[in-house]
Amino acid sequence: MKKILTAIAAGIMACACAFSFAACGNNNIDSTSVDVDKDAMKETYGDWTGQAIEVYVLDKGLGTEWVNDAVKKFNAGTGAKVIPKADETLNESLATFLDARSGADVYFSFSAPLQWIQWAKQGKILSLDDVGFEYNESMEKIGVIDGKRYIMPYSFAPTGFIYNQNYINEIPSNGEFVQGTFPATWQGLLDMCDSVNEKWNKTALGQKVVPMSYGGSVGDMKYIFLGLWAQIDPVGFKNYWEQTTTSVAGNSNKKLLVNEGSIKAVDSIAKLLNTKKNEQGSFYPSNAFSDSTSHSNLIAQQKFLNGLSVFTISGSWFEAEMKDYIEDGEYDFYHFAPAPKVNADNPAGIYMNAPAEYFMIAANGKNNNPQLAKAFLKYMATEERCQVFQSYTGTPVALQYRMNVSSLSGFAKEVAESVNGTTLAIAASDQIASLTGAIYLDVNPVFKTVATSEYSPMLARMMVENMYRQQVDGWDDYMKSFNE
Amino acid sequence: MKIKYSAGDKVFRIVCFIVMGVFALSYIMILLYMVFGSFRTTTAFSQKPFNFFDISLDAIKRNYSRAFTYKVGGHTAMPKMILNSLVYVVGTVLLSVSIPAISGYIVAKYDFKIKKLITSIAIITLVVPTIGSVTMTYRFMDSLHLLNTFWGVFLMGAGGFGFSFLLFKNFFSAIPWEYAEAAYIDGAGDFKVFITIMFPQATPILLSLGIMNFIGCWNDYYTPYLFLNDYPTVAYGLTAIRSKFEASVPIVFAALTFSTVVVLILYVAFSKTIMESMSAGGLKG
Amino acid sequence: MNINVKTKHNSGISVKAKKMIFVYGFLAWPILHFLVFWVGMNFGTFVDSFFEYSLSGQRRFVRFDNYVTAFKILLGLKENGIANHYALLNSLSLIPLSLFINLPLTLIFAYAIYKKLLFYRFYRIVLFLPAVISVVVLCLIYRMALDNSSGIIIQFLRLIGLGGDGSQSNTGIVPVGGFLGNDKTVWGTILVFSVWTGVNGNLIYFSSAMARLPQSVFESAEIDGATQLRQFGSICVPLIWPTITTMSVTLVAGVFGWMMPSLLLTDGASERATTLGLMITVSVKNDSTNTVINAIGVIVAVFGSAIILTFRYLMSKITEEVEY
Repeated sequence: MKKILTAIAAGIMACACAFSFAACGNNNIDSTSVDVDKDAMKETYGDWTGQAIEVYVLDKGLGTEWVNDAVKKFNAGTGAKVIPKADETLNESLATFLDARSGADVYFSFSAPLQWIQWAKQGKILSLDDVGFEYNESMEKIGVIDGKRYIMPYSFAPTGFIYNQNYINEIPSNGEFVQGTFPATWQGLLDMCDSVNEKWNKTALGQKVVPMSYGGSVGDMKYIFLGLWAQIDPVGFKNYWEQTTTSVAGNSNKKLLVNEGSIKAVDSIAKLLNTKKNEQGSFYPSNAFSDSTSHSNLIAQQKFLNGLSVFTISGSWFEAEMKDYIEDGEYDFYHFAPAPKVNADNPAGIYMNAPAEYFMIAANGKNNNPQLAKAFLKYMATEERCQVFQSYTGTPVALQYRMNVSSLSGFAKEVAESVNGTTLAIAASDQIASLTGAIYLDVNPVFKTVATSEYSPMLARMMVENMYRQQVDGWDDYMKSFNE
Repeated sequence: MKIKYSAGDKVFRIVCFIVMGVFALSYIMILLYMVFGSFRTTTAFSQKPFNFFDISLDAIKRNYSRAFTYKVGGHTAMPKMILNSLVYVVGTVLLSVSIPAISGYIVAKYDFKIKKLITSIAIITLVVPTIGSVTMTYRFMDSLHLLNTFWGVFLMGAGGFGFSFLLFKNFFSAIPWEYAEAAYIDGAGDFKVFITIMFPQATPILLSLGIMNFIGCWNDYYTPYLFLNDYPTVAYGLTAIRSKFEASVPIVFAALTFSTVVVLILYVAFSKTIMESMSAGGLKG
Repeated sequence: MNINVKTKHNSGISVKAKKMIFVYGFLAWPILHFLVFWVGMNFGTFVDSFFEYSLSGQRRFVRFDNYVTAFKILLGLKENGIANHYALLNSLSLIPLSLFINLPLTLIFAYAIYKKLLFYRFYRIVLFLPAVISVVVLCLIYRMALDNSSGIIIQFLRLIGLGGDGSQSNTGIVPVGGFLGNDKTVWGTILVFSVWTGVNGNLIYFSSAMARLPQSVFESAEIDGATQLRQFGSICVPLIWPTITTMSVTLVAGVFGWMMPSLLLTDGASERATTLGLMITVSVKNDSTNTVINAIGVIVAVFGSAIILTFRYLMSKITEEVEY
């Protein structure tokens, strides 16, 4: 009996091993059937025949087609052997790879705030000044430290609401919400939620459909908060996120954060969450799921696609991130809308999640070929590559380029159109070492508390003051790491 | 002879039976839930949670193929993770049964100056919580360029003092020298005596330690999490699979089922051996 | 134990010398490994705890600053994400849990099996399962079983009427955010997991210790009319006290590094479910130059050893070892 069982175990392992040898053979992208102008490419990027580097990409919703396509064309055109790799948790292991000098040569990922600065100062990533690319004004300073650029921000992701048009067509009009159109005002949004809860009473999969699903455990609300703040008070928003100060203590600094704009933004979200007391006496967000605070963005998006909510909080990455799911179920009812206006006279504003993922070159890369790595990044910075990236992922690129709207899916087109002509708010100063003002403002816990506390007009002010106090507490620690 | 139980005993036995039954049944049910869950489609699983046997061949194919082809770390799908796990396990097991064996043997059988010191060292390593030194270890391995390599992991695991050391020491203490005397008379050196006579005696311990270490390493998450990011093992890969397929539970269950089945088969095959050897080389105080 | 065997004389090297070459030769590597990986790493941690690293890797001597910060964190005067006083509280709470729930349960189970309870062979195999199945697998199953929509435990609670009626406003005993998502219940839920899976790792050691007990003592107790329960308390436990001591010392020592369930059940992101081990391990990934963690590590090592040694001493004082 023992022998039989051991044989079975060995058999399973053997099959699996055979599988693995077969499976791990096919890493090379087939470059034979690619249509590129080899001479032109070799002239622009160099002749890299036979030389190899590895490009390691974070696959957290953007997929890998864009990089596989780029690698294929680059290899065909320059003779190089660029090998793409992808991992969903690359951002967690990046520190280890850069320390161990083992993972790859070029990385595309995000990292914890201050981490890339640390790597730059310690010489673990290379300066990219000689690669040559252009950013628009708002992104110019991001990724630069001590006058040199070390990271190449790439994904420039608008955030907003993804809604179900079929449901919108059914929900009875209420207040400022008109049936059939996603509301353009915040009050309209609140009225729509009320209509969903009280007038509509739709069920799906045996549950009552709720207005909103959102990733409470990953801080989806942060995007909306920052977008609303930028919308309500664009000057105040800019003043806070671009302050160059060496200390946040003191009243004048406090007013940069604790002011009408930010408080109104938090208050608007509190009204959207609309907490009510449940039968057990605890508060839950009645416009969302009672367990929204423990949902990840994936779960929230999946619930939305399953028809359990009318809209979800996400961004341009929604379609790419849920690609497998969408293909399986053939969903076609989802659309993108920027956050509705809180005040009628607010300018339209979208909070851009930037820099989301960026390129960087390891100083001691696996194949020790920084010149080839830089050539590859130069290629990635071209307009064609930016357009291809956007067509595959639905997310615009942070560099200066013209969007090729005709190559975009319906959803990606909506995203692109919403971005054109809108004020784009970026709150990236935690990535800009020279601007120290808003370093590491911890927004996420605020909305967890708001979603599980009783609403009161004072709640928003209290939350913003807490945020400020936390920032003051942590300030010395952050500043210390900048000083020699 | 039929044992007569007093009333108190009867209550005791019944309560024990029930409590143990609850635990045992919960383990079995959760395993069945996992296995049968991996045979269902995602929608069926979330909509009809109690239809345990609502399985379909299609779902099985889909779930297992998704679980097996998903690439953690880009180049590492389940089959390669199995290979990584095997390398890690075999290397660690070999080191952990050989090095402590010889150090345990030496301390058990020979008199020398620092003997008492070494025994105390072994106990100290078990008593002092040194979780805080993991940062230093990480940086040290980094400076040796051994981070993210199998060699580095094997180096860290090649210690000679620890729990296994104590097991071997106790075991060898109990073996009389008479076995070896004949060999010494024939002129064999100490090492030869160890290899040809004493070491083979320790087969029961070797076997049980080997199996326990195999299972421990197969299931180890901590070391690959910190030191082997480039070569994810099965245990490490499972968490990545869970977060990727968070919303499609049956696929995650498929991966979990596979990982568990291997260990379960070994356990069922060798349970008697494990238990016997644990008793033989058992710990006393 | 030193043998004095007559052997053929070798050229010059005495028997004793050859033995010492063997002894020290083969102990050289284990000793070196110990010196580097145990002494070296711990000493390095200790030394480093008095320094601080800037972003560019420069080291600066800061005397006891790190220890002040460490104590502030452990005592609740300062918080930094998962580095907060809950880490200490949670870790310490594991001690009574292991000693007064896990250990006694395991002991009683082992005894029941020893006394050949009905289906004892089945129990012996099945109850050992959690030790064999990876903690990763167990954590992931538990986590998915508690998921608010598709989790079997929640569905079961709904079935028996304790989980509310499926609406958002009535969730029964399931707290807002789910058991693992709600700050008030997350640690309790993890403790339940710890009992559920922790009861049986040591079953085998107790079983084998009991197997070596002389039957005669039990038999004479039977004849004298002692119940099995009484035999447990007055005979079994005192006789295997050394094993109990060793196992409980191991459990207490393990508490300080305990982190896997916290990491796997909450992704290491819950501030209420943090432990000392989690705090330290996660910081390795995030920022390996954070020397406050070194200070915390030293504090844990010092106080942890004190606790463990005191505990060991108390245990050995309770009963004298009985020879058999």
